Amino acid sequence: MSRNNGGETIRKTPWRYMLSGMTRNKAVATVGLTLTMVSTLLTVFPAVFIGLAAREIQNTAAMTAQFVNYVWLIIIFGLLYMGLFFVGGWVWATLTLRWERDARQDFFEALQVNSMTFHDEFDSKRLLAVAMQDIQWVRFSLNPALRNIATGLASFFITALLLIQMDWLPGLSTMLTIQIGSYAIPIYGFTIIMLLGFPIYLIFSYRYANAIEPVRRNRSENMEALTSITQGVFQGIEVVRAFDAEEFEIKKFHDISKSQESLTAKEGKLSAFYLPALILAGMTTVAFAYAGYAVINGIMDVSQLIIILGLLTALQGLNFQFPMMLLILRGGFVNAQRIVDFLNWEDPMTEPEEEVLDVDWTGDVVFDNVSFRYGREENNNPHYAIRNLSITIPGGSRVALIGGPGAGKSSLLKLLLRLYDPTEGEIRVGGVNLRNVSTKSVRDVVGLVEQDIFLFRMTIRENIAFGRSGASDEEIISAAKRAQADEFIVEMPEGYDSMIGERGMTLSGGQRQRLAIARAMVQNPKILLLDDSVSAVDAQTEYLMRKALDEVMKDRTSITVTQRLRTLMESDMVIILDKGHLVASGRHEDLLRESEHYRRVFERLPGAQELLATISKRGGVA
Amino acid sequence: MGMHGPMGPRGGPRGLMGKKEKRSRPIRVLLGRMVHYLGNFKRIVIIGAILSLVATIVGVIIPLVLRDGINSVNLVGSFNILLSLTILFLALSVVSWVMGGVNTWIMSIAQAGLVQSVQEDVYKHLVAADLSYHKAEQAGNVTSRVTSDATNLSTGIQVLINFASQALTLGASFILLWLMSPYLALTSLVVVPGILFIAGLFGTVGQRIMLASQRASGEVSGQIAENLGGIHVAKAFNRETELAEHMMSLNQKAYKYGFRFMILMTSMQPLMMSIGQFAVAAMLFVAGSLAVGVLPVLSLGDIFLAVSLVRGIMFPLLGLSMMATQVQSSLAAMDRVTDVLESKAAIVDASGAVPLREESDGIYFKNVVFEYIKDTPVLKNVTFSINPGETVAIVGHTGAGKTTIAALVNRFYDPLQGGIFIGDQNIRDVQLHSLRHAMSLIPQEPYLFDDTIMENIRYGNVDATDDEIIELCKIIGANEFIEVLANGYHTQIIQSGKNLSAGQRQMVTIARTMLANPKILILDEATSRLDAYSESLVQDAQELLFNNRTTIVIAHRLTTIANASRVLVFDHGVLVEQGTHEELLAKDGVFKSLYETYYAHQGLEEITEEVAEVAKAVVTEHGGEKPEPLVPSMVMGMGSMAMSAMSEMMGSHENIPPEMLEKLRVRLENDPDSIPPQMREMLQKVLGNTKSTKGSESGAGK
Repeated sequence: MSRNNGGETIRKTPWRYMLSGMTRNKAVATVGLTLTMVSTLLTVFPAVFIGLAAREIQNTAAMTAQFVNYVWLIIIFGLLYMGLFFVGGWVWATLTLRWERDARQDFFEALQVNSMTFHDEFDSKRLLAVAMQDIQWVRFSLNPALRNIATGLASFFITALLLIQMDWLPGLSTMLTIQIGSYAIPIYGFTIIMLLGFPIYLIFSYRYANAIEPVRRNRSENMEALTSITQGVFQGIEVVRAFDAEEFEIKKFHDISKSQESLTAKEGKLSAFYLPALILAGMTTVAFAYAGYAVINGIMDVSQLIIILGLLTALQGLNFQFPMMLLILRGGFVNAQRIVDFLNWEDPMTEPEEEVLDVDWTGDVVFDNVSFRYGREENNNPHYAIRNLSITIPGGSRVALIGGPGAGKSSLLKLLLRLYDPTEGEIRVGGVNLRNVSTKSVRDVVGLVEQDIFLFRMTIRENIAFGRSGASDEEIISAAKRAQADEFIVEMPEGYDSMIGERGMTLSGGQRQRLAIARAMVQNPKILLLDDSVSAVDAQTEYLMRKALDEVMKDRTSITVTQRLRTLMESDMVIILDKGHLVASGRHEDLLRESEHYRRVFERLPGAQELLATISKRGGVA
Repeated sequence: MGMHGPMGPRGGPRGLMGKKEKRSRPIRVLLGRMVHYLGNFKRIVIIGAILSLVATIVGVIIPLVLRDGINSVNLVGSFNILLSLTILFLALSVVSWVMGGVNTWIMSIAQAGLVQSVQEDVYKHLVAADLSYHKAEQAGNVTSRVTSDATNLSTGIQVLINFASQALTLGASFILLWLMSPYLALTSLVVVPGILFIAGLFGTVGQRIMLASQRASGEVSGQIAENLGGIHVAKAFNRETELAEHMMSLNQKAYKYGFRFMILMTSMQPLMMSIGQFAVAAMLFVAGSLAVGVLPVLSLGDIFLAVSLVRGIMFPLLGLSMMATQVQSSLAAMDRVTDVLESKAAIVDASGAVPLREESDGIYFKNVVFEYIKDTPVLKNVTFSINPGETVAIVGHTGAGKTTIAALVNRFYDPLQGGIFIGDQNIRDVQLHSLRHAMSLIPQEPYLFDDTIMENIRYGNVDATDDEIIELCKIIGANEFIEVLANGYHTQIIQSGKNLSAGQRQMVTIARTMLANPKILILDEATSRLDAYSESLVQDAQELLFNNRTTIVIAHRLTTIANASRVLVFDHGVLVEQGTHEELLAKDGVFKSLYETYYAHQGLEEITEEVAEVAKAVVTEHGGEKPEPLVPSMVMGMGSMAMSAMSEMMGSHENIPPEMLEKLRVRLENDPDSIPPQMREMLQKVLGNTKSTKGSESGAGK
């Protein structure tokens, strides 16, 4: 069996999702099921052998060879059972674990494909929990739950057959009759016991699981909340202390742990009384009386009574397993529901049906009346991150972007990467609407150096090569050199093969940023987006950064979010945003003269005062 | 068995660090503690115990009734006896069912109550525990004291309660067999080697396979966590396919180990059943031979009973043999919980502590010496005063002791020597509550709770109205970005703030502190992640709202220093210079060099290669630039839930607080076997590193 579905995810109903592993491998599933049934047969039969052996003793009052044979048969059945069950278990394990592996892979791939709107919406802790735990619980519901339920049903069924066939013993059908007029209707005692008892047992088991499952789910969700609150408090213990909020937090914990207590007690109460056990005891009682009566009447012999009691008492083992497994199966369904809901999430961002391939990426970048807001359209978020933005950025120019938090700077960068599509208006590069270009093509030519640099737990080499698949060693090293990163990389014990993070090197903010620049250089994008809101660093780091930035901006259109005076002054164009609106754009000198807003912002940048002072000394602005 | 509860590789340090952590207390003491907790539920436990005993005895009697039934129909053939036995059987079944049910029910009440009371006790202790404890432990570990340890404990108690009924069933079954014939009793012992085999198999090979399987799925989980954290990077560089391939290989590995584990589990059931069947066969043979001959010892009913009793021997034995591991882990949990409950916080209100007086203001350090780790002083005989209403900036290299000063003023720690005063009150003699009410610290790393933005800000003052909060945010310039978020002020913070930028997170913490309206303000690089423009807005707001309040600013920008009325310069835990910005520059000392390294270039000044070289030399001498965690902190937070322990611990060893390193070092020396080998190696490396840098104190001064 290869991968279950070649990456095609089942997104229909929860049941189909759960059973997809089995329905896609029908032959294997049938083999597994059959083996399970047959091995169950082998566990039921020894009760019959015991009865037969007892008859042998009653009839002969001696240790006959036949008696010893029965003893051997029990042993042989035990061995056969061990073998068959093991093979069956192997098949089930293969089937269900592969399902689990593929389901997890599919789920991960589906998450990866979803646009950033999805990732904004959902906590990745939750996604992770679904990927790991929910999928595991669905697997549990197949194996062991479904398998054990099949076993249980099979043993119930075989027992029923064995008992029912006893009704055809000569004389038994006439032992008890109902007289209707002159007509004597025979009573098939065992048939009635089994056909009545069996369904009732199942119905009550189902109701039992149905009643408990929601409580249990509540309890575990409450437990998750308790854990996350607790962890939050201990992670932020300094904040709790600083605001003297210990009492507040203790009260909060008290409430949630009390509700945990009552949920646990409630579940305990519900699960304590498993009514079907009583039904089985009732069936055994009736069978005991009926068969005993038949023995006294000489219709059955005592060995048959022993067989019947043996079979029915053996069924009592089900009272432990059956409810537990039903609960897991029932729970697995809810987990599957949750997974399917995630898989069915509808992405508001769509790929173009027919992609425009010949885009001049060195052309002008035009924002045409672009408005953008976060969240899905239906949410109707009233606040726009970008509002009616129209601007043309000439191809090949260096652009600096400034504005306070919430001005829309990073939203603008994200739109250019097509991580989102504008809510209204359009963005054109070289005259082509970005919506008509696939995200893949856009991201091939648009590069990003983000603000909070994210590096993977890989070697430095791999992290730089992340910029473009198949980058050669020379390219990597030359990119690192131009990004001023080579210098610190070679000083590391394992150079480019040093692991970052886990069991490896940790890097300073400046080093990380230079690695991110190297990563972008390897990609060699036509349009570079840089979010350079770096915190204060020492002069040497700053010096290297400036060099790296100069290098990476060469020969391409670049848009930099910045607060460096120098970048502002050296840019071909400065764009000022405020609350999502374009305030002004133009060259630094022009803006300083024309835009009051720009002047106000500029004045506040470190060093600006001195600069303005020198300018005014020289005789007025510009 | 929390059905949807946390699964997989977590739990306490036991689960994380390998399994053989030694207990520090004798079993007797730990059992005594458990019994003590149960004591609060004395009546329930006694009733439960009685019910369970009765249910057990009834359970043993039921097969006896069937035996008599078989014998009576076979030998006597009386309808009346059959009828009364039938009724007896039914009655006993019902009694056993009711007793068992009631027992389960009330024991679940007792257990739930016990878990809750342990949890609350532990939680209260932990919330009050010294900060040094929290620094030495991972938040995930601390959490598991409250969650999984408490649950473990209750499992252990459940097991102990079951023990009585299991042992009783075993004993009663054995005695019954013995009464019928000693041979039968001895025959029943054939199950013993089989059960020992099963228990042994699962104790050794099983454990190993289980751990390997957990580790493999921990790797998958860690990778998913990381990839979700970096999803925007993967998208930006079109690398989804490669990441998916890598994921597949990890999934395949997890499958391989999971398969082994499942095969092992799958083989357990037939093994058990077969051992049972062999025992049945043996019993049948022996009973059969006793039931034949001229003077048979046993009747047919006895054969049935003997065979039925195999179950009564086998399952309790199996249960008892598995009990040992459960009780072990429960005792270990009790041990850890006891550690927490017995530890006494050092930072508590002194007897006779008084509230901080309204008029007490100003901060005074008198000959303060402080160390996190013994004999590694971080502050050396520091004396300074900050007058009421004064704003003082503190500067120095990494490891100079700046953050420590902030922590000491808040009395997160007590100084080793010397005293810290607010006004003329030593903070040791002030009620903690009133001290922390009077001052606010904005820490370097903004920390947000997973709640709405509104509630996060309200944390500063629970009585503040929504309007007040929004008003404040407008003043400090946070309103603009909060408003445009998907749900504005009611946007849920996820993963400690992954949906906000670092600067935005800082803005929220600033709003929170300003809302608290403290008398004394301590800013530990509180605006380091803001752009200069936003920072200046915050400074304006600060001036507006907190004009003339005593303020300590740990500075990272030139503008901040220039605004302070005085600057304190620290070097290696010593206060080396103080004065105004201009005075210090004129001195041409430590400050001058700091200035040239960190601040001068923040203006327009061109950096020359020489300046860069000098800066490099200065920085290197002081232990280098501060390393940052590989992934933003919230991914690390997620890691504690998902990633394997090792990756978590070693995520970035430079960020392991010194207290934790110290603890690990001690453990490495005293009990190296309790640490998995790969990790031991890693630890040695890390510890070696810090030792070598200890000279410059960069390891200790964080």
